[in-house]
Amino acid sequence: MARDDDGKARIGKIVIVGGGTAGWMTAAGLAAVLGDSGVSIALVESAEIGTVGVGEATVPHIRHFNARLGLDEADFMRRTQATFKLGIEFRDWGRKGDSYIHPFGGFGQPIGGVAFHHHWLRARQRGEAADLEAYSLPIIAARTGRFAPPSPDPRALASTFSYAYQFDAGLYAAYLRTYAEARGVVRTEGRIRDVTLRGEDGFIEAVVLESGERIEGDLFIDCSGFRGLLIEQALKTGYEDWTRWLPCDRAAAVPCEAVEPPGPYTRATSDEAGWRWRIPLQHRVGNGYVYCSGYVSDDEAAKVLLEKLDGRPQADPRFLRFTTGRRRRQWNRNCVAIGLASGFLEPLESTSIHLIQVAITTLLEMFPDQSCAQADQDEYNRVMDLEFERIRDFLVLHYHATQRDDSPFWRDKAAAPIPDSLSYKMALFRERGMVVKYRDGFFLEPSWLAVYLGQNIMPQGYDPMTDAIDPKDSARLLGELQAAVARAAQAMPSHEAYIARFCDARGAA
Amino acid sequence: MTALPLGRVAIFGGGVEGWMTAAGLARATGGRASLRLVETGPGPRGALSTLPSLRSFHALLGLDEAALMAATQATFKLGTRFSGWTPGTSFCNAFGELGASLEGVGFHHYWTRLQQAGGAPPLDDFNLAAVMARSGRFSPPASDPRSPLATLAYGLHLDAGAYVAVLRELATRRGVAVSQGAVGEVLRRETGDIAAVILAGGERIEADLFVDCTGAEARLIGSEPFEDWSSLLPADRSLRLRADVRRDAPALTEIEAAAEGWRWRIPLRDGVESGLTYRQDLTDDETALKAARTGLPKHGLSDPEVTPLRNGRRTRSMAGNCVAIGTSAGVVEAMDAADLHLVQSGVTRLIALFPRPGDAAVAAAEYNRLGEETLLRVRDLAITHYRLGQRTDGALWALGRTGPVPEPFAYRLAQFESRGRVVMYDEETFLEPHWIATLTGHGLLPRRYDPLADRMPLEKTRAMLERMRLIFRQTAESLPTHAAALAGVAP
Repeated sequence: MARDDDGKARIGKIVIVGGGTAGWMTAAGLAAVLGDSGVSIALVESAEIGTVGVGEATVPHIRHFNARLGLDEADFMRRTQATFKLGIEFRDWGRKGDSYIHPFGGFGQPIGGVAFHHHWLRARQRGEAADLEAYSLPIIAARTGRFAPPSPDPRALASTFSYAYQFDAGLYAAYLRTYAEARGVVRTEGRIRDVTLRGEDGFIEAVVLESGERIEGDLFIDCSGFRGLLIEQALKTGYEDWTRWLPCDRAAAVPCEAVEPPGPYTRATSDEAGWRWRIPLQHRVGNGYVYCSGYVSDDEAAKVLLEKLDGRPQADPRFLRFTTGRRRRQWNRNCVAIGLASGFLEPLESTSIHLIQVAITTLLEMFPDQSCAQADQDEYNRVMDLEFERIRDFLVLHYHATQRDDSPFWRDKAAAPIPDSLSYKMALFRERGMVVKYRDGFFLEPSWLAVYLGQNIMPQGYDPMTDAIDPKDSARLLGELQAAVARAAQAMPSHEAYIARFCDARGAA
Repeated sequence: MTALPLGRVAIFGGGVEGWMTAAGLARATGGRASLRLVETGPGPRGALSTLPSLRSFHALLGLDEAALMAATQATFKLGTRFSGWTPGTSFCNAFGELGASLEGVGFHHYWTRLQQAGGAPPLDDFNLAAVMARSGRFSPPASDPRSPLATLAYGLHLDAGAYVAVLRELATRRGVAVSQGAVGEVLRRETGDIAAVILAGGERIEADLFVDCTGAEARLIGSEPFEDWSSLLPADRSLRLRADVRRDAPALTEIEAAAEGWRWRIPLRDGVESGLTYRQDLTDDETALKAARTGLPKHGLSDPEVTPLRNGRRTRSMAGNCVAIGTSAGVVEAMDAADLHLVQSGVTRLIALFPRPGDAAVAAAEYNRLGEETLLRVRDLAITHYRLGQRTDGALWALGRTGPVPEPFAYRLAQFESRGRVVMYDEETFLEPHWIATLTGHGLLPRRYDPLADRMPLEKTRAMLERMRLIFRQTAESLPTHAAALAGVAP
C-alpha cells in the first residue's frame, strides 16, 4: 500500500464505473473538491450502454451542488434546456379530479407561537378560510405560470420560497462531463469484462475492460445503474426489497412535443396501476408511466402513456424495470454505490438526483484513506439509510392517503400495510394536525402538510393553543396574506418570458 | 367554576419546574384553561446555571431580560469550565462557534492536523466565547453577521428563589391560582387516571390534567416504573451552600472534579454557590461539606442543603391524565446544566401535545418518545465526562469508568475517536462545538482527521489558525469586563 511521507495511505486514484447522471455528477463533484489535491479520477463508461435518465426533475438542493461547482446558472440552463420548477402538481391522488401542488416553500408564518396551518384549520371550520393554496406564493405563481427568483430580503414575502430545475438529464450529464474533463477527470470508453478483488481483504483491485485494459484504483464508485456491477455482482452486498410498501416495478418513458409554454412545475398524475410524470423542458416535454407489472402489461402501459401525451411523441417508449429498495451497504469495502446502483425510489417526489447529491456530499464528509475504515463506512451507511427511509415513508404516504378505489391496484394499495415509522406520523396528523419533525433526512413540515391536506387527510382538530388567539385576528392575518400572495404573484413575469430573457436555449449547442 | 375549553390543569410542586410550567401554560393557553399550582413544600434555594435556550423561553413568556436579571442576582454565562477531571487539565465548554470551517472542512480537523504535526494551541483559544470568559469579558452577540461576535450565545446564572418569585408573579398575574399543601392522597379512577388529589390540609384538587413537578418525590407519576441509571452515572447525592462573597467572577460556571465528586461554582452578583455531587456510600455528608467549602472563606457561609439524586427516568412521563415535567420525569446529573433545558422542553412539548379527550394516547406516545430521546442524548454527554476522565484518587471515578456502555453512546465515541466525526441524532440538546470541546477536553483526540484538510498546506494552516487565535484574543480584549456588562444591565 502506497504511503505518503507522513505515513498515511491517501487515496491516490478514484475509479468511477458508469457515466450517466450519477457518474458525471460524482465525477464533477469530486473533481471540484479534490481537483488540486493530487487525486486522480477516472471514469469508465460505454456508449453502447444506454443511460436511464428518468430523473429530469430536481429539488432545490441541486442549486447548492451547482454553486459548489461554480456553474453559471444561465449557461447551465441554456445547455440543458432547463426550466424553473416551483413544485409538483399531484393530480387524481386523493380522489379522481383532485389537484394539489407540493410547493418549494411554506404556508404562512406562525401566529402567536402557533403554526400557521392550525389557524387555517380553525378558520376553515368556521368557513373563513380560502383553499390552502391561496396562502402559498410558489403555488399561486405555479398555477398562473409565473416565475421570478426569490427575494434576498428575508422580510419580504417573495423570500419565502425556493426553486429547482427541470432539465434534460442526458444534457446535464454531458455538461458535467465537459466540466469534469476540464478538471482532469480521465474518461475511458469501454465495457467492463471483469472485476478483480484483492485476496487478503476482498477490496476491489481493478476493473478489466473488454479491450483488455486494466484500470486499478484505491476507491471505486459504482454508478453502473440497477445491476450494480461492482457493489452487487462483484461484492455480493445484498439488497433490501421494499416492494411490499412501494409495489411499482416498471416504467415506460417517452418525450413528446410541447403544445404550450412550459409550466414552472412538474406534474404527477395517478393512473390505474401507478402514476404518470410530465416534466416540461424548453424544447420538449418528458413523460413516463411508473406502474406495477402485476396490474398492467407493458403494452397497455405504453398505450395509456401515449394516449395521454400533450403532443406528438418524439420516440418509441423505453421500458425500465426496477425493484424498489436499497443496497444493504451502499458503501462496502472500497466501493461506494451512487445512483441506481445504491437503491431505487420511484421519482414521485423528484428525489433521484437529490439522492445522488446527498451521496456525493456524504462521501466527501467521510472521505477515506486507502484502508476505507469500517467506521467511515458505517457512518456513511447510517446517513444514507436514514435518507432513503425518510424519503420512502414520504412516498408511501402518497399511495396510502388515497380514497381512489376505481381499480384493483388502488383497492389493494388501500389495504396494504405501511411502515410503523409512517403510521405514527399519520396518526399524529389525523388526530392533532401535528407534523413530526426530524433533524436528518429530506422533507420538512410544509411538504408533509401539502401532501396530507392535498390528499384529504383533514385533522380532527387543530392545536388547542390556537384558541388563545382571537379568531378574528387570525382571520384578518389570513386575509392579508392571501392578498399579499396574489399581489406578489401578479408582479412576477410569466415563466416563459423569464426564461426567454434569462436562459433561452434556442440556438444553444 | 365555569368550564373552559382547555379544561382544568393542576400543577404540583412550587419550585422552578412548577412555576416554569405554570408560566408557560398561562402564556400559551391565554385564559382558555383554568390553571392552579399547588405549592407542596417550601420554595427552592440555590443557584441555577442555564443554557442559552432558556432565553427563548423567556422571550416566549414576554419576560424582560434586564428586569429579570436585576431581580434574580443574575450574571451572564458564556459556558462552563471543567477542571481536574483528569488531574492538571481544564477546558471550557463555551457557547458559540468553534473556529470557522475552512473550504467546507470543519475547523477541528485542521486543529487535529496541527496537533498531530507537532502540537497545537489549546482548542479553547479558538472559541471566542471561551477566550472572552477566560479574560473576564462579556458581550452579547452582534447583529452584524460579519462580526466575529455574531455567533456568540449566552446563558444566565440565576438565584432560584428569586427566579421563582418572578415566574410566580407573572403566572399569577395571568390567572394561575395558587394552593398550598403537601400531597396527601391521590384518588384514582378505575382507568388509572387521577380523579383528585387531597392535600395534607384537606383541600381537594380536581382537574382534567395533573402535572407532576414534585421533583424526585414524584408524588403523582411515582406509580410508573423507574429505569435506574446508577450503573452509568454513579453519583447519588448533592450538597450545596452559598458563600457571601462579592467578587468579579468570569461569566462561567465552574465544574471541578475532586476525589469525592464534582464540585460546582455558580457566580451570582452577591455571592457564589458552591456544591458537590457525590456518592453517599463512598463519601459522607461531612466530608462532602468540606470538599464543597474548599477555596471559600470561613465566614459568611449558608447552611448546607443536602439533596438525594437518582439518575434515571420514568418509563412513561405522560401516562393517562398525568404528565411529569422535570426531575419527576427523569434525572441526569447536571454538570452540563441541561436541567432547566429539560424542564423547558417538557413544557413546550406539553403545549404542542396538550392532551384532549379522545386523542390522549397518540399525544402521550409522541410526548414520551420525544422526551426519552432528549433525555438520552443529554445522558450521553454526562456519561462522557465519567468515561473519559482519568482521576485515580477516588472510588467514584473508577465506578464511572466501568459499567455498561449504551449503544448510541458507544457509536458516538467510536466515530469521534476514529476520525473526529461528530454524530448528531434527532433530538440533541448540545451542538457540535459542545461535543468537540468535551471530547477533546477530556483527552479524546481523533486518530485521524478529515483527509480533505490536507488540501491546505500545513504552513498555511498554521498561519490561518494563528491569525484566528490572534483575532479572537484582540476581540476579547476590546470588550467590556463581565462586571461592567452587568452594571450596564442592572446597576
